[in-house]
Order: sequence, then C-alpha cells, then structure tokens
Amino acid sequence: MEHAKLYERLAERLSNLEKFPRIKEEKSIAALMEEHGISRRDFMKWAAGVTAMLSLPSEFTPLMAQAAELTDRLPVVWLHMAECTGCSESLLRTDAPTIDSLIFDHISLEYHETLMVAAGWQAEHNLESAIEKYKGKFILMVEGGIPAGSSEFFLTVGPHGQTGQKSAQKAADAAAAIFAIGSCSSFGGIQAAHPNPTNAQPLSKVTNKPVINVPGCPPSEKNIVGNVLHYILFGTLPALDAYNRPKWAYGLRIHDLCERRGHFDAGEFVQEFGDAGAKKGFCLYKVGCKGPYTFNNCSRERFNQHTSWPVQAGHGCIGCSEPGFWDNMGPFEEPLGDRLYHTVYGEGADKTADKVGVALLTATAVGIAAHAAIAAVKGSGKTEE
Amino acid sequence: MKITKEIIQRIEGEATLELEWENERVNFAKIKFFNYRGIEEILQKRPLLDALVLTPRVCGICSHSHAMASVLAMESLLANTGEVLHVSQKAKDIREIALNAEKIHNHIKWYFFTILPELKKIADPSYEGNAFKEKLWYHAQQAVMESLSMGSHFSGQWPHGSFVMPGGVTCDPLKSDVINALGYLDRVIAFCEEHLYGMELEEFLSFDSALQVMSAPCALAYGIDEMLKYGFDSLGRSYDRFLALGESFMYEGALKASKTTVLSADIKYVHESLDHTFFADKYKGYTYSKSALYKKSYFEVGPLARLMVAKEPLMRDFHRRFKDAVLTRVVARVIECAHLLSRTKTLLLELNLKEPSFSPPKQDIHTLSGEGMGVIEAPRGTLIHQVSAHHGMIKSYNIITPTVWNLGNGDRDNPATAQKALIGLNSFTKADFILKSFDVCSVCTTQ
Repeated sequence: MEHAKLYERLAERLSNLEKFPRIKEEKSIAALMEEHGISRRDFMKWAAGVTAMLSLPSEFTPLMAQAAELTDRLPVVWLHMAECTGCSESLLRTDAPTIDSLIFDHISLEYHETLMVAAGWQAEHNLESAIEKYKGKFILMVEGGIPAGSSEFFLTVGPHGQTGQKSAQKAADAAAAIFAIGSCSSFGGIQAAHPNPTNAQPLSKVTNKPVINVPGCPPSEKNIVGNVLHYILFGTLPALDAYNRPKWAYGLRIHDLCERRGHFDAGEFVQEFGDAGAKKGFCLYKVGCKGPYTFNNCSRERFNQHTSWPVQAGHGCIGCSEPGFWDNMGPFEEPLGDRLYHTVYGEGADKTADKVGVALLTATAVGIAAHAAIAAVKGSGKTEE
Repeated sequence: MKITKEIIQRIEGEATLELEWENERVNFAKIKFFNYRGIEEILQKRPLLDALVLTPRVCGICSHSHAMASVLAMESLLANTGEVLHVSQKAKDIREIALNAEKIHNHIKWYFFTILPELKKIADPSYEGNAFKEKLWYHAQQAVMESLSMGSHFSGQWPHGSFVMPGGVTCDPLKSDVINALGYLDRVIAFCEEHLYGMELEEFLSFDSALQVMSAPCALAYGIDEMLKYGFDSLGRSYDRFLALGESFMYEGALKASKTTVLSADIKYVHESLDHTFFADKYKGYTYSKSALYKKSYFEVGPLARLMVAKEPLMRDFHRRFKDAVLTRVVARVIECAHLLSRTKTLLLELNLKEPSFSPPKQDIHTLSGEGMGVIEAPRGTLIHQVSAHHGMIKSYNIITPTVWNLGNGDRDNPATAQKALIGLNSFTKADFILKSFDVCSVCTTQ
C-alpha cells in the first residue's frame, strides 16, 4: 500500500478509536507524563523510535504518538502459565524515557497476577469480570507454556483449581487479539524441551483462534509493547512469518545486523572463550553462536534500556526465538554445523542439523566471503578435534 | 474446624495458602505450589555446559544466581577431578557485580512493589493502588531498571544473561562500560538515599541502633511505623535459626549457621524432604515444593540470615528488640541493600581490567565425568546446584532453591519455617503479609 493511503487509513482508524470512551476516567497520558517529568519532546522522540522499530516511515511519528495516547481505550489481560516470570520482568524493564512502562500503566491492565493487588477469590473474580465486561474487546497476553493435561503434572490456579489450559481457553475465546508472549507461550519453551515432563504446549495448540507469537527468552520489552501499538494503529494482525511472528520484529536474522558481523565476513573467529579473538570482539560462531539461524531484532534493539545484549557480552546467541530451540539449537556452546558427540537424539540427528545449518547459512551469506568463512570454520573445527 | 484457601497474588508465579482455624486462630498452614515444570528432568542427558543456559530459566528474577551456582558446580566438578581452575579476581568481581545487581533490584522491587502497597492495603482495604500508579512507585521502577542496566553492561542482558563459563566470564568490558555502570549505580544510590533511607548511604551504614533509622522521613521509616502499628513487630516469628551457606563479602569464608551465636556449618547435613509433595504420593501430596532441612531442622535463609551470620550491628539491634518477627525480616532486605550498593561501588571502582576475563580449563569438558556442587547466596537466600556428569553429559542435576528452605511444608509437630511463622495468627490479611515477607517465588520453588 502506498504511504499516503496507509497514512490516511491509519489516521481514520485512530480518529474512530478516539470516539470510544476511556475505560477508566483517569488522567490522560499527556497529563501523566507531565506529572512524571517527561516532556512532549521526549515523548515524540520515543514515538519516532517506535515508528522506526515498526519499519514505518518517519512521517508516521505523529500517528504513533496518537496511538500511544489512545492506549487507554484498550483493556489487557495478562495470564501466567508454566513460566519463570522472565517475560513480565522484561516487560517492566522498559526503554528510556520509560514511556513504554507508562503506557502499560496507562492501558488498562485488567488482570496481571504478579502486579495486581487483589488476592484470593477477589483475584479470580477480577479475571472473570474483566473477561465478561470487555468480551470481544480486550487483548489477551499469555506468558508461559501450557501443561496440557495428559500428563500427571498439572498447572492449577486459584481456589477453584481450574487448570491453566482451561483459563487460557476461556480467555482466548473472549479476546479480540491474542499474543503469545515469550518462547514458552509461543512454542512451549523450556518445559516443553525433551522429555517434556508436563506435556507443555504452545498457546496456539489450545485455541483455534489466530495467535501472534512474540517469542524470545525473554522477548525484549520493545517487541511486546511494539505489538500492542501496532495493533492499535492498524486494528489488524501484523504481517506474520511462517511461525506467526510479526515480520517487523522477526524479519531479520540476529546475524544480519550483528555488531560482530564484519568479523564473520572476514573469517575472524573466537576459537575458544578467553582467547585473543575474544578480546578483539571477533565473531562467536565457532563457540556456538546461533545468530545465523535466529530471527529476531536483538542485535538492533538490545536489552535493558539498549544497554547490551548477549553477543556484546561475549556469549553467542542461543537462538531463543526459534521453535524447539532447546532441543534443536543445543549444545549451546558448539557451532550448530559442528556437533561431534551424542545428543539426546543420537548421532543421526547431527547430520540433519548440519545440512539445515549449512543450507540456512548459505541462504544468509551475502557472498563468497561468507562461504569461505564457513568452510574455514568447518575445516578447522575438524582438525582441532 | 474451618479451613480457608486463598490464592496468593503479586508474587512470582502462583501459590495457594490453606489455613486451618481453631478458635479464630490459625492452627496449621499449608503452603501449596502447583506449577511444576520438571527442569531437573529436562537437564538430564544434555551436555554439561548447557546447564549454564538452562538453569537461569528456573527463575526470571534470580536468573544470574542460577547461572552462577551452575558455573560453581562445574568448577567444583573440575576440582574434584584434579583440576583447580584459576579464576581471575577480575572475573570473580564481575560475577559479584552482576549478582549484586540482581540482589539490589530484587530488594528495591520487593520493598516498593510488594511490601509498601501491601501495608497500604492493610491500612485501607479499599486501596487499589497498582504498583505503578504513584510517583514514588515510578521512581522506584526507574531505580530497579537502573540497577539491572548497571549489571547488564557485564552480563549482556537481564533476565537470563549467559556470560559465565567454568574459568571466568565471557565479557571483556571496556573502561567506558565500567564508567557507564558507575553512572547507573550512582543513580540507584541517589534514589535510595532520597527515598528509601532518607540520608546518605554512609551515614545509614554507620548506625547500630534501630532508633537511629526509625526517625528519618523515608520509605523505610514509613514501613517500620506501619508495621509497628499493626503489631508486625511481634508477629511472624519462627524458629530464630539462620543459615547462610554461600560465600559473602560480609563474613569470613562460607558455610555458616547461626542461632544468635555462629556455629560452623557443613553442607553434608543438608537434605531435601519429599514429604507432602505430589512426588512422594500422587494422592495425598498437596504441593510440588520440596522442603530443605539442615541436620533435620528447619532454618531460615535469606538477607536476615546473612546479616545475622555476619553479625551486622544494626541488624543485631533490630533482632535484639523484635527477634525474627516480620518487621526484622523486612528491614533485613533494606539493610542488606545498603551494604550491596556500597560494596558494588567499591568493586566497580577497583575493577582491574588488565587481568584476563577467562582462563580455559585444560580438560575437555565434553569428556568430563564426576560430581560437583555450587553454593551461592541468591537474593532470597542459599541456592545449591548439584551436578553429576558422565562423559560430558549430565547424569543428574539437583537444585535446592532458597524458597525451599523457607517455604517448604513440615508436619504439625515440626512445621517448616514459614508455617511456624503463620501459626497463631487471627487474620488472613496478616498471614498473607507474613508469607510475603519471605519473598515468595513459586517458579523457583517448584522448578
């Protein structure tokens, strides 16, 4: 769609959304920001950042700002399944000047077990009434894999002892849009790793409604908030890849924008942790980086207020936003195409992984230089062993 | 006899508290955790080093702690096979800085987002304050973020950084990283001085009397006042037995237990009980949480235990006045936070970047067989990882988390630490608050 047309469409959608009543008669986000000492200028800077992050042209920035201001028309229910709470934690580590967190405060977070004050029967009642009151209107965000019953180990929540699966289904049935936050909810996560003791399943397996996957262990706060803003702006689901991940965030490989990419292309690798290459910041492929196989924007967006990310701290990407990565990407400190010892799948699986790896890498590579680099990695790996 | 069940909110994960009442008093309590994930099972038959990536996922709040316990377990495995690694002072310091960031963030977050709103709710049951709707909450949230950003200069990200390896750390920070980290830390200290302590850190750390900190206009004094108002200075007492098995800068060596006087402790007396779990009996069990005991007795672990073991003067004064009541337990986290802030600043200022980050083990980790154990002090207390490996693959992996020490389930004649603190209470609200004073985390309790 042409930009002008798209702009018009989004502006129209926002002005329609504006006519909806606020969920709570509280302060507007503008007033709230002022109270917290965030200027309009800071806010617009932030909006410009999000606009770029969502791969929209910069003239869409005012629309983004407007969308953020309209977040108070949007109730959100956040459910915890089998998880470590890392995604909620990531969500709360929002970017400077922390307008994201303001927005998550400002949007009506109707139910969030870790953050809300209510307890006991009151909490369960809050969930039920939120689902009832905002039927067909709220955004459902689910964190964690869903233990699917056929195992003896269940997740039961609340005084009624309702299974996690059931509460997720119930909420999904009534939701306007469903986001699976984190790799656990998107693909089953760590608890679904072999042998999957609790028969944990991805959210998409327990509902027949479309689920937008926002994987990562944890996903960056920007990917979580960005999806909400995208939904407000467009009112539709974003363009998704084969694993239902929004393309704006998961369209590129970690490898594509990695700060160590130049070293990969030049064939300069860390041979083992602590060597001279490690000190010079060479490519981590040979010590197990899964960046070439992993689709996510960490290398661009980073973590903790844009401070750093695993590759910057000298450790390879573990591939945490890919389906089944716990089993497919391990061992984590070995190159994927270079596995020489037994895994849970026996030796045969290594060969397949090897082929997949090389095929993917070949597709990734920008030219002959990269091919040469891979060949160098594979060759030297073998002679060393 | 009346039995009430309540789901506990605003903790990490889910827990249910079942109280048995007699004559309007709590007669017995069951602390139930339901979200088992099976991480110890999943770790089996995987390459040894994968534990460094897998175990942080036990908990999104203490992910660095798990990485650290895991790496220490591997280093002790190497030592048991005859190779004592030389981990540089720089690597040790970086590990401690990252771990301190996790502890500092946890203490600030817990005090401002669990304890204070809870106290406000006890004062006014209609209080609906969301953790992030008041200006002070907003600034506390900033401080939490800043403490983690400080640490992530070295760990890459939080939660779930992968930056430790047997032999050191993978990061090679530059001077600019250290300067940036100091900048973040200074902002956290400024927040704490202004809002939490109401005075300069140094002054606070020089005190040895509870009366000295109760008068300053600050969040700590507010909390203490409120707790005094509702009798929390005498409620929630447990065994008054403390255990801190991991090393700390605050006391010499490791492996200490304390019952007002310090005894020497030995890890061989630690054992895990399966009583009342679904693992022991599918039908009679009621929780996935095991219980940890030392010499068959329940001990309290966590900041209060650490400070008691370290004989910290201010803590000892609080303890002298209020024993191990809720008030003492809550204040312990705030006092420890001050020590951690000051210690981390020293570490950053003295970090010697010229030393190597990493000294690789001579043995090939892929062929290692043997056993190892890593013990550290995590935000909530002693964390133990035990690993057994065969030809570089994990044979078995056992994790004993701090909450298993505090929040396990004992019997009526020998209740566990938190259970004992709940018996005799006359209201659910108080029970809820006392349970939360142990900094409940269900995700790591059950794994």
